[in-house]
Amino acid sequence: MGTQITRRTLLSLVLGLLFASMAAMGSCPGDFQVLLGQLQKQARSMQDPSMLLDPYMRIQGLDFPKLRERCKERPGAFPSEGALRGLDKQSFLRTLNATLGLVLHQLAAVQQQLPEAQGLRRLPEARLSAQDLEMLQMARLNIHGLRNNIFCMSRLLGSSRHAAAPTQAAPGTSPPPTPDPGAFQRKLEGCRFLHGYHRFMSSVGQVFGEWGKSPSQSHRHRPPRALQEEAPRARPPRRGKRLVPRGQLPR
Amino acid sequence: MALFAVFQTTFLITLLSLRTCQSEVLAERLPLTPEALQVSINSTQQCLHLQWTVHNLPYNQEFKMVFQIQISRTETSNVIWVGNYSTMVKWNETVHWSWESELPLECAAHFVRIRSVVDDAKVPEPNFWSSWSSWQEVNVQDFLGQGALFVFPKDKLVEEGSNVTICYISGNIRNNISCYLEGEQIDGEQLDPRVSIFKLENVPFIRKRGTNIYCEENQRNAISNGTVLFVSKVLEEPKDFSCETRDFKTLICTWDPGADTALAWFKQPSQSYTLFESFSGKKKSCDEKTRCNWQITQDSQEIYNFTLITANYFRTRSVNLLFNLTHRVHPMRPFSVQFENVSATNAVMTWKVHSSGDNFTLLCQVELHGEGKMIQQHNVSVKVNGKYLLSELEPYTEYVAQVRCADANHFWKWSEWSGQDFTTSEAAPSEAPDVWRTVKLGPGSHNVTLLWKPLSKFHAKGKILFYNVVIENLDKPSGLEPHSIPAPANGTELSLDEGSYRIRVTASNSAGTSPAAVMVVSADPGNKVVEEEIINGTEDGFSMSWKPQSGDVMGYVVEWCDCPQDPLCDLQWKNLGPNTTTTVISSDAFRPGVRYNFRIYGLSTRRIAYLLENKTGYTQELAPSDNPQVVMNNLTSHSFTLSWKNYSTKSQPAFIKGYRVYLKSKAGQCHPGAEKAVLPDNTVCCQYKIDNPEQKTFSVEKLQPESFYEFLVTPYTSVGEGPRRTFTKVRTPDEYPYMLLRVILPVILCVLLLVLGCHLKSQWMKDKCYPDIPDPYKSSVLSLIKSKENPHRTIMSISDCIPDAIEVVNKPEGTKIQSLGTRKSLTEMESTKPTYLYLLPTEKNYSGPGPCICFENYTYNQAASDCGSCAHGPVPPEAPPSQLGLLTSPENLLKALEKNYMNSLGEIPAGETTLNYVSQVASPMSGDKDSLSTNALVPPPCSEYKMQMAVPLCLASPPPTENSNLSSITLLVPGEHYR
Repeated sequence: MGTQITRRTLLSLVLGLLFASMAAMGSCPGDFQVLLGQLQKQARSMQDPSMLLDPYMRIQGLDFPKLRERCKERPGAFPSEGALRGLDKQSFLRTLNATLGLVLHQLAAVQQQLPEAQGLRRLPEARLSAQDLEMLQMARLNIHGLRNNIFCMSRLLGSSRHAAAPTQAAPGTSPPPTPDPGAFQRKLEGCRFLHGYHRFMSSVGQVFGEWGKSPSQSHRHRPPRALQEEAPRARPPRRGKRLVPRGQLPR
Repeated sequence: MALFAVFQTTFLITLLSLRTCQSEVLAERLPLTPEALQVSINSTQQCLHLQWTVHNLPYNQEFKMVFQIQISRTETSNVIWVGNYSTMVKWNETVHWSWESELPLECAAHFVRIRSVVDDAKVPEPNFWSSWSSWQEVNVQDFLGQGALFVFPKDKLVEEGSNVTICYISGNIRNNISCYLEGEQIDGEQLDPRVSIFKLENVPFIRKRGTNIYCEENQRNAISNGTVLFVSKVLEEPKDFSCETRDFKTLICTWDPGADTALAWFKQPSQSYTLFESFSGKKKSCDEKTRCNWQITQDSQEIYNFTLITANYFRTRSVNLLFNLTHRVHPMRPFSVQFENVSATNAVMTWKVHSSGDNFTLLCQVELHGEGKMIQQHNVSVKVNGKYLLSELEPYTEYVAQVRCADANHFWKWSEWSGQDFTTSEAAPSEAPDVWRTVKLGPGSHNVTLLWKPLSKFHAKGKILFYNVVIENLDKPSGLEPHSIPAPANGTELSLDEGSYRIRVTASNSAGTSPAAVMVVSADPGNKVVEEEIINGTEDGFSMSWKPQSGDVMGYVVEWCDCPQDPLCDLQWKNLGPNTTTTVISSDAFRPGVRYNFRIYGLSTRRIAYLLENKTGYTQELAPSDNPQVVMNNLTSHSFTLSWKNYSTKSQPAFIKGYRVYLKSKAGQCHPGAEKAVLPDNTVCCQYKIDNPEQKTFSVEKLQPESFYEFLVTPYTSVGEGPRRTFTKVRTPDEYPYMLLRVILPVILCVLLLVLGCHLKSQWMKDKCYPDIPDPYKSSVLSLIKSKENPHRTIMSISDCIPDAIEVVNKPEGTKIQSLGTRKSLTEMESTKPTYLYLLPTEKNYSGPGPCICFENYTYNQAASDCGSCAHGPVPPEAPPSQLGLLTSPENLLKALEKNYMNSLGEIPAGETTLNYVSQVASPMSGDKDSLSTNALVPPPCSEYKMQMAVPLCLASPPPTENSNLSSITLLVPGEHYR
């Protein structure tokens, strides 16, 4: 298991750094399909709970069946798939960028509140936790890579004015102080947030998949009937408005 | 003295009167009841915070008072704690006091009341307690939401091993609630219908992110709420606290911090470390957890008294260290290690040390390492530069020399090692090479293979550049024949004649030459025929011994091949002293199942080697993996013979002790000499034992005819037999063919006799049907004619015949010539009018003198008769006209006959199926071809001639060809010729 985690971690690191460096150096792929393929791969990778949610639960001591049952996305925390399908491409990219920015923020907060991570590695019983902490760190790099590709896609679609700016991997800043509901509730909230994040990335992957099926459809996605019906319930924002996720990770 | 006593008495009276006055004042204002009692809660610390005031105190005066506090839980009558709090109280001062609750204060309502008493010397006793204040209730539950579930305390920080009480408060009394600690359900006790408490004793540290405790409502089967208990590890005292200096500028203090007590969520940072020096009074907060640097001031402080203080939220611990700075000097690593004047056995080592003052002396330790182990160790006293002569070194050897230093006066610690490697110079090899030889005797020469082992590093004393081989003929004193063979060769081949030679071998390096190894190759090595002796080997090698040789023996040599199955053999040898008669030969190349041969030679004083003994053995015998290739022959209905003469017993993985022949048959009966054996597949077969390994044939007898047998020949050794895998099938032949032979032979004889009879019969038939052409001269008719008319002439002469009719066909000459030239076809010929020349009268019309005799030779028409026709063969209808003219005269006719006959003989090749025969005419030289050509043929008078021909089977009338017998002559009786 340790080997698997290490390999996955290395792969994530390489992918994250690769994409991050591409955008940082201003070398966006010019081919829509190539860029879309990268976005789809990244979205597919990020919807895997073993990349973020599972390490988080182990770190926080929530890795018990009863607690797992409670670790479900809080409704409305992230835009639904129907809402995402109702967005045009530019709005979709902006929403995705904003959502990932928030996730990045929360992950940075988690990393900040674990200064003992280095000390943990010295303890034999805490090696697994150290690996999980590395996974959290890698997740941040992956999100940076995805955001840079979002920037590239946005530019490719011809809206550089509203394109999400490329991001650099940097230590996150602390979120604004909120009333302390207690560590346990914050742990659970973080868990739910990450569950929602993975679900959200799965929806993002579905939307990107639709892009691949209809490359000529440049602006408006035509959601399936079921999603169209669901969309009003999810109250998708008007065109161009960003959907902002709610919730935050515990420190 | 009396004055002093009066003064003292007066003072006491005055003081007493004053005290009495004050008591009266307090007595007037009593009771001093605490007032304005306020109770608040600190949930984080689970503390009840009380504050109150005491009125009625004299202005600007301070009294010591004792406050008694009662705390009840749930209801006022349930007093859970009573205690006194003593403090100095001033006028109008608010008194504070805190009480830490074991139970989270949210779990139950608490009630507090207080009373006081003055406990001050200024107030005369007896003092009385004041009355109780009114009960003050603290109930947090009133502020909690209804219907929800709460777990307290929230995020409590405790030390490992503490006892903790938690509780849940349910908004609904009907809820069935279970609580879990890290997934394990915990049991509690009900405090009231809505509250249950859980007492956790000796809580362990689980993780820095806290221990999760959560409760769920069983009805909803969902987590309702939970809390995190942050358990801190117990702060340990720093271990191995030590301080030292390396440069008299900085003191480096180090320690082992033990476990880190930091907790996540900023509940508790890592323990802090502070260094305090008591003489200087300075303090420094350390940035690192394991070390701290302390700057040495220039005030020449020698004694230091350090206290290392570590603290977290629960504890403070400290360790102390008192030392003299000069006793804690840890010198820095020496530098510039070099070697001078390196020879074969000596080298001078030099190095430098960091200066620490003129009066500072270092003790340096020099170590010399060779081949991975320490060889020499020396101590040297050094001020600034160090130097040491390393002696007793080995030539051409790589050494590593290293040095470290410490304070010579007050040893504290060695510095780190500083080292360098060097190699000593070469010296001449100290020992002769170990030389051996193999000799192959050829016709009139010796082929000597000279082998030597490379000198050990110890004896080579340098890099061997070449080997010198000097050959000296002992029989014919002549010049020496030197050979120089570059290293790393380990042998050479020499071709010498039949004489005796002394061979000297030396090894040379750049510094000199080794002593010589001497070997003599004699014309007569004197090797005797020795028998091979079997020895037992083990994994450790072969232990062997030999008979000591009487006389002068310089030593013994044991020779063997490490790879006996390899053509190159990898010859090895071992030299042994003259008094040694036993040895153990071991080699990493020895393998189980390989047969090794050892030859033991004696070395005479003349340095001639002669064979003494021959031994063979295995380190470990293995069961044969293969069986012999068996050839079966002499197969009869009752026996067959097996042969495996190509099977080599010496190349087997064990000593072959014999063979086993297994025979499987359906009958399953074993003949005498065979034993029943059960094979691994539980089949039963007969086993024949051959105990002589050299017997490689075996006859299996007493077999049943026309039966199937399976046989297997396998060798057996002391460790087992060969594999019993593949049996060869054989079927004995039937013995009836022999019986049949007795029947068939007579039948064949009978048939042959019958054929012979038929053959004879056929001759008879031939004689009857196709008799031979009778010889006219031998004919009985002739004798009859002779006897009646002309006894002298029996053969017809043409000249005697008188033609009675001539039919002449007129043909133009040109046409005749053309016919000859163009050789027309038969159809064309048929178109011409046939012309017959009747030379002889028919028998009916004959009126000439003498009878005409007509012969028919049927024998020559046998082929035609075979086709079912015994008639005359077809006769060419016409004769070529060209020839007719020539036949007008008897001479021409004779010539033509002769010519045609000759043509027939000459043109018809032997063996052809189509044969033309000219009618045989009787002649004196009948049958002689040569005579035909030389003697004129004279036809008998009145004879009828017919052309006879042999034709192919079933070819009654073949079409004539150009070369066919168109030129044949037909002499027919008029009116009876065939058309």
